[in-house]
Amino acid sequence: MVEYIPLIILIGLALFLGLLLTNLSALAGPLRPNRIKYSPYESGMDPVGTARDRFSVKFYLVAMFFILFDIELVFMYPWATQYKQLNEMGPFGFIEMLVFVVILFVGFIYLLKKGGLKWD
Amino acid sequence: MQFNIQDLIQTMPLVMLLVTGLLLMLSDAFNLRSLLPWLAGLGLTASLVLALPLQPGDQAIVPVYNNMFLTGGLASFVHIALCLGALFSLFFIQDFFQRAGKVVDEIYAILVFSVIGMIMLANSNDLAVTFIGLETMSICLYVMAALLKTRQSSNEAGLKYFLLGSFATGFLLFGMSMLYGITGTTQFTLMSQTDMSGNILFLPAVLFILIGFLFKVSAFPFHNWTPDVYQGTPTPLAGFMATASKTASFIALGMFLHQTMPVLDEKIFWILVGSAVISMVYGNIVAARQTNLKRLLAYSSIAHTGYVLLGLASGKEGFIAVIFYAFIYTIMNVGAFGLIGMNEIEEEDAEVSRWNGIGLRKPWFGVAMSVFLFSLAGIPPLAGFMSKYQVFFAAVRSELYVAAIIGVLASVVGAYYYIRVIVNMYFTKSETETSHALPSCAMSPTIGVFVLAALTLALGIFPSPVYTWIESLFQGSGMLAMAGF
Repeated sequence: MVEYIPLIILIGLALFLGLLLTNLSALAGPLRPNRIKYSPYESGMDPVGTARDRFSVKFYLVAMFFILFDIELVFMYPWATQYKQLNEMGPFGFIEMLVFVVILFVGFIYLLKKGGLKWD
Repeated sequence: MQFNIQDLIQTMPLVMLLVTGLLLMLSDAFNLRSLLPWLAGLGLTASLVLALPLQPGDQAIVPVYNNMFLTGGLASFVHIALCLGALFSLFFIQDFFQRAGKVVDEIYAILVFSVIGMIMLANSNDLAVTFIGLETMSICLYVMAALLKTRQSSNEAGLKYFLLGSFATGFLLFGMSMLYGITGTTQFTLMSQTDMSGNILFLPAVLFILIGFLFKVSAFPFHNWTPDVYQGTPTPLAGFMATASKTASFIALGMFLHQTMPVLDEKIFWILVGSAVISMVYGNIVAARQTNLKRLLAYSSIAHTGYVLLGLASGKEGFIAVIFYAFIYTIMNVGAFGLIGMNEIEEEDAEVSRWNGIGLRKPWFGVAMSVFLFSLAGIPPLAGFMSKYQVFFAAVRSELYVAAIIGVLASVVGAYYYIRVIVNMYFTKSETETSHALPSCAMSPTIGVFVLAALTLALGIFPSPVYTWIESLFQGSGMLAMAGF
């Protein structure tokens, strides 16, 4: 049970900070409301309306690329924390990540060359 | 973390494929279009040659990467068979897309990556590797199904395959997690050391895993996606899908069942046999009513799945027959789908009525199609007969008399619809002359057809080199011997 105490502290802290920050702007900020400010996504799409609207397939593309390269970082983070232990018996950990990054980089070049990041 | 350079050398054929796939992506990005088919062919051939067992010690299975993956022996044979399947399909791809008027250069990279997934799936010794391999394969196949973006049927095929496939994968993963819960390990060979049969979760776990695999091989209760998907998929790729992915899934299922369970559980055994029998009967009877050649071959592939499942339920003899069957089926079915693709510009060209009289207009085309169809029906001098014979023989040896008799009767029904196509090709006058010059006479598909037809004939008359090769892989002392083989 004792080992869960830091986790509980973390959850408590996150809850406190979240509540504090969301309410702080309402309490301390200047209140000058207008119609646009009160829409759910101020500079995004209007969420109320027909659900059968057509919008560009590029949104999906960008979302997919974001997930791909985001996951890469998720994968790299634990690797970075364990870097010393991985390299105790030669440069195993380094080479392993190099291979991963090279494969990813080929994908990135492909993406660039095929114009996946061009909006028009 | 242990890392052994020996492991890397052992998996060199797979690394070769990966490098090929990456090079294909780069050449596609830099618009080296004419290079692509050659590069893909070269890479697959090089990988195949690297996997060939040249030294006498190569006959045994060698586990690598902490027993997660198998190389050598049977695993090498599987590697070679899958690379061959992709190479055969490669003959037909470029010509097909050229005539369809589509530029799809990414298909070569997708093809190579899907082969990597299949090899990982078939040669894994660990549930995690099985799953990653299965997903690598499946995602590439979903893309292949939807490759003709402007055709509605292709879109339908891609979406159907994707949704149903991911659903089946969910079942598979759930079963794997339960199996891990029971045994505390993901490795097949370690699982066999735990006695699982008493556990209440054992049967659901294996059933969920079976659902995942039976979906991939389109066995009876999970077959409904097959005709729609094969009809919409670009034809040469449908041939690749119907053969290589099924080969990989069958071998993975066989290895999983045989390695984790020294004695096949009675209930699972009967589920396999039941699914096999119903697949054979259902596939053959429904195929007899089809008017579209691609749908016909899709239903026939459900029936062939039934034959192979029967082999899978018949112990070691049966497993040898299964691998032999999958190899032969790859050759003849890639050929048949390739020929349909050569005679196709618009979708309706796959209707049987469009094939009327083609055997007289283009003699070599008719002869080649007849060879493949007779072989699929299992007529004696051709390879399809030998493979079917081995499967039924193994079934009889393990006392599955009734199932074997039903299978033979079902394949008589099968002969009806294969031969009906041949009758259409030779004895029916074509009412409407097609305006475009069909079938295609391009160089590479023609060579492909001749190679495949020659192999079908040769392996029907001399099946023993391949068969004894597979048989010898089961005799060595290896993991398979350990796991009750």
